[in-house]
Amino acid sequence: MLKINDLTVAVNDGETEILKGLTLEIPAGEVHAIMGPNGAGKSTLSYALTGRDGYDISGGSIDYLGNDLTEMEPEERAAAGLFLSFQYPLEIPGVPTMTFLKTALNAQRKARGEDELTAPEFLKKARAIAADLKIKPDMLKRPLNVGFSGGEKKRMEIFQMLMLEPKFLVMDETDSGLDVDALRIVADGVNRLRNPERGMLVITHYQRLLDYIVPDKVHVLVDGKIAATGDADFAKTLESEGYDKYAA
Amino acid sequence: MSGETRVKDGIERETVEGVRALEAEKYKYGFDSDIEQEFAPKGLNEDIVRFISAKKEEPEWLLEWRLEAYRRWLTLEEPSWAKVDYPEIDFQDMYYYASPVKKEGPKSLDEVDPEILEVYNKLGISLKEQEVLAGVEGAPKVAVDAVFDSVSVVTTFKEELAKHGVIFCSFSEAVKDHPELVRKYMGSVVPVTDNYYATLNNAVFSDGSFVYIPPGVRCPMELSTYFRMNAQGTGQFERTLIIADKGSYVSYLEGCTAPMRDENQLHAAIVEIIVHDDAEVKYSTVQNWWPGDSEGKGGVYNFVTKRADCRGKNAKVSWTQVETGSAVTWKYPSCILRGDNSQGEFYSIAITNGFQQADTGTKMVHLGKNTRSRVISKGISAGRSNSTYRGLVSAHRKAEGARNFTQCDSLLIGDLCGAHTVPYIESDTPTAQFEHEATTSKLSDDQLFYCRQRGLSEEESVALLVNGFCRDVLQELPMEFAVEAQKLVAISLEGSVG
Amino acid sequence: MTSVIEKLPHRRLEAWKWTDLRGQVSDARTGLSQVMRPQFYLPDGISISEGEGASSDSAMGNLAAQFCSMSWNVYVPANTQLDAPIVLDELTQGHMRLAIMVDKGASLNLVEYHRGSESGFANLDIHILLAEGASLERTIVQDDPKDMVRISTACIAMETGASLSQYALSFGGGLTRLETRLYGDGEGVNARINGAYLLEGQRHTDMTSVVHLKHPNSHIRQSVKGVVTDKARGVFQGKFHVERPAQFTDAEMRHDALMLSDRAQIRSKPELEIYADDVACAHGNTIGALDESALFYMRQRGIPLQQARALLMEAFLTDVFDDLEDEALQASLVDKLRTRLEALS
Ligand SMILES: Nc1ncnc2c1ncn2[C@@H]1O[C@H](COP(=O)(O)OP(=O)(O)OP(=O)(O)O)[C@@H](O)[C@H]1O
Ligand SMILES: [Mg+2]
Repeated sequence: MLKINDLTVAVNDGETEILKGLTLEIPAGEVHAIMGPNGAGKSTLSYALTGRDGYDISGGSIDYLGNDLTEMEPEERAAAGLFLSFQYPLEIPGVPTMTFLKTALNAQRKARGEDELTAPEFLKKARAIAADLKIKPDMLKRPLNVGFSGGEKKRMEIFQMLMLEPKFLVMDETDSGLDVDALRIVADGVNRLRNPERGMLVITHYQRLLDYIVPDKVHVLVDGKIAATGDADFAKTLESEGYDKYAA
Repeated sequence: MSGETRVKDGIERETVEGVRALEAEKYKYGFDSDIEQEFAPKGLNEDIVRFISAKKEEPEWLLEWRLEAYRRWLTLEEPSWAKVDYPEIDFQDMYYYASPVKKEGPKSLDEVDPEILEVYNKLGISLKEQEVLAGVEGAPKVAVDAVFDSVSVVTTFKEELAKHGVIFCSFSEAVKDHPELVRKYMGSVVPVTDNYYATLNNAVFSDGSFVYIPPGVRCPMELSTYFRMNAQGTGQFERTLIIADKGSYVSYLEGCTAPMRDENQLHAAIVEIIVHDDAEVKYSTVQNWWPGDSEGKGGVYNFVTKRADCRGKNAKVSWTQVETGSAVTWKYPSCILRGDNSQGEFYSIAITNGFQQADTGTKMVHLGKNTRSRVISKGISAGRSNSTYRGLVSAHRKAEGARNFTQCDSLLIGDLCGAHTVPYIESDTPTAQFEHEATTSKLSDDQLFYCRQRGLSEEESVALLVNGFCRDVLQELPMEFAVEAQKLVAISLEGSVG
Repeated sequence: MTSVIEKLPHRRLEAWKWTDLRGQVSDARTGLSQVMRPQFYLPDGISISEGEGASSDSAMGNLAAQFCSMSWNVYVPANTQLDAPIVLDELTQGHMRLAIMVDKGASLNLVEYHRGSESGFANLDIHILLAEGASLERTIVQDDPKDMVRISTACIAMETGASLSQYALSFGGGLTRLETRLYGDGEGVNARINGAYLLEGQRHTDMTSVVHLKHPNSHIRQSVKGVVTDKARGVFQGKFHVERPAQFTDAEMRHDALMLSDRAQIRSKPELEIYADDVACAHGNTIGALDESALFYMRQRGIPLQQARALLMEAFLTDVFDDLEDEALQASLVDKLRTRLEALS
């Protein structure tokens, strides 16, 4: 479903190369995890996939469901089902969470040629999901992420993910900052989305998350490349041994 | 953050001790040295201008320069927009030229009038610089170009500097020895008619310093100039020109003290700095001229034009100033950020006490792409003084990606003083990002109490907390200046509480 | 007519340096030497009369007095609580003087619609006295044609315990200026002076204010936000003048502006003049473009760029109206802004 081939990505007006020929394929229905040292380029990969400005793709290709992803605007990628749970979710002052989400959901539906959700439909869905995630209703009235705690922000990312029902999920350290209970709630949410049509890429530093969301494959990203790949148990090895032996 | 941790942040042992040691130091610079002067007659006219030029054996072009400036000056009006108030200056009741007699330019310390050395003693610049002046082995490398009244009398370390191709001499010498550089750069940053006082300076400037750092040279020592004003009623019109050629670096220190007297003294200097590609200039000033007596009489009028032109790409200039003296200060060290990626910084502490008035700030003019500037200003008003921050930050349409951050804090000590903030912010490009924050407050009672509970007197506590308040700026000063400046902060605030 | 032009302030005056009124006005303007015919909508129990009114010391006030020998006078008796606002409309062109007194403990809502005519000139000179404990909510909707020149000056004197909430929305014009001069003539006055401007084309607006405090314990909050695009120019000048007796003043001023095009301009001068030592005064000013990372975040969630921009700008601007008590009015201001924002290409 997602085929990344020999991808190079540079930042700093193209001066600093971060991804240096990364190749990765994630078929529909699979969950892949990426682990790797700080600064290896994991978040960079997530931004390259979602089309953030300033992350120049200088080589290679990304194919997503037969489309060349690099040719698409960020919102087109979103409408095509690509969702990124940000490592550091942004605060958007003045825009209530519900307004934001409704705008996003309907913009995506419109782009896909679907009917917009009516206000009651939307509300019903939002309330149900919020309840599942143990998000207090008054949080949904507040401006998006403004003044939320680190854990609350992560939970809000998952809330949005469940609302938008994307086809392909990229989760960048969604587990960081979550307490044990929240982690389980989030994992349950993610697992509910697992189905044969969906692909997932889970970036994490902790094997713990992978106990809940069991991956089909685990990749090690070091210095801008995939240095090794293994099965779910590989994460345990990595956690105990570290990344030293993969260092360039 | 709790009050307690903030206080702790501000406390530095050295400061506390420094404050204690300072009892006796209050205006120790109030004295008059008595060296014969060779005056030009009082007043200002074309003949005086010619006299000055002739005395200094200047070339014809410079005389013309002065005369033209003088004629322009006659057509100008004294500015009145600053928030300062002072009796009308009688420009005809001043001397425009004075120099220590007999010297043609001493070649060594032995040739220096002992009384001048005595002055240095009293000034307390003795610390390291005296050793430097005395030529003591192993003395720290600080080159001092002392401007005694109007003529440079001592220039040291010339040779060592010369080895690196650095030129550091009096302005008059530069006119004689490096006319091509002087003609190329003089007036290219501050035009002759820039403002009333600058134009006056162009007509009658006495002397000052000249610095040229050749391409790629990192100046091997900090260059330091002590300015003093000496003869009664003598206007002082310094002229400083600093040129940092491509890829060079220099740190320049300017420090001042002035003798006590009850007659106002006018000081209208010009400092021009040219920074080429990849070069950097750091200019630090500690200014503690005679602020006037306890009734507010006398004191220096300081009307200075300081400006740096970052002409080349990646050029950087940084102004740091500690202003504690003068009766009236009117001073806006500025940066023209012309070269792409050039940077300007302005760090300032202005302390006013008694009847002092200070109107000071900076201009950051962003012309080039990705230019950055940073302004940190700390104003402290005590007694019956008034202190104003006046600043301009502007971005030209072509200044894509320009960035400015300004933080401007004022502190009031006592209820008879004033603190004012007048920023002008102009942006003509959407990619510029300007941020300005300003606060006015008083010292926290809780913090004061905390300090006193730990045994500091009220005055010590104030000095300590004010030093904490100024910390962001103090730490930008070169080491030797920073210690002096901390003491100065304490001295300047004496008598402001209780 | 030239004599009127000669009396207009110009850019060589410090207070008008970015708003060159004289340079913008020619004889061709209508309303230059004309008396304005405003329309008042008064709640029951409030009447309006003509009288001498208050005298002005400003150039614009004098000019108004030259054409209007009489001022409109409105009196709100002590302790009156009105259930409807006073609405001012048809402030199309010409000069007008208005004096309002809100007596002790009374409260008033005042809504002004500044809607002018093509090539018009309008000069409003407004004086308001808020007596002890009186309160006023003043809302100004300035929506003029693109070549309108309008100067509106309100001098608001506040006695002990009086409170003011002012909300202004400006779309600019050929040159418009909304000046508010607030005088704290008593202790413990409470004021909020908010404004938003949205400018396109070659429009110019100027929001100028002076808060002059002479007594202790006042609380002032000011927030002005602007968005400028095309070749428009936004000017903000704010000043807090805190005199020696005005101890324990707590005053905050903010101006935040977004620039959307490379020909737009922002000029800002947030000024503090403080003579009292036990005060907490602050101002902040930011100028920049829309937050790129917020835009990206929104697009990642599928919101098209255009819409993401409009949403961010709406949130940015309308927050100054958050505390407006009249909810219907608040909604209408937000709607107006939204319509204009959506129309921006
Ligand atoms: N805009 C940028 N400009 C310069 N360097 C950048 C930029 N963005 C990222 N980098 C650098 O690229 C490298 C990779 O960053 P990235 O955020 O992808 O790391 P990461 O693998 O996600 O690390 P972590 O585990 O800490 O989240 C880092 O060294 C980072 O400093
Ligand atoms: Mg990361």
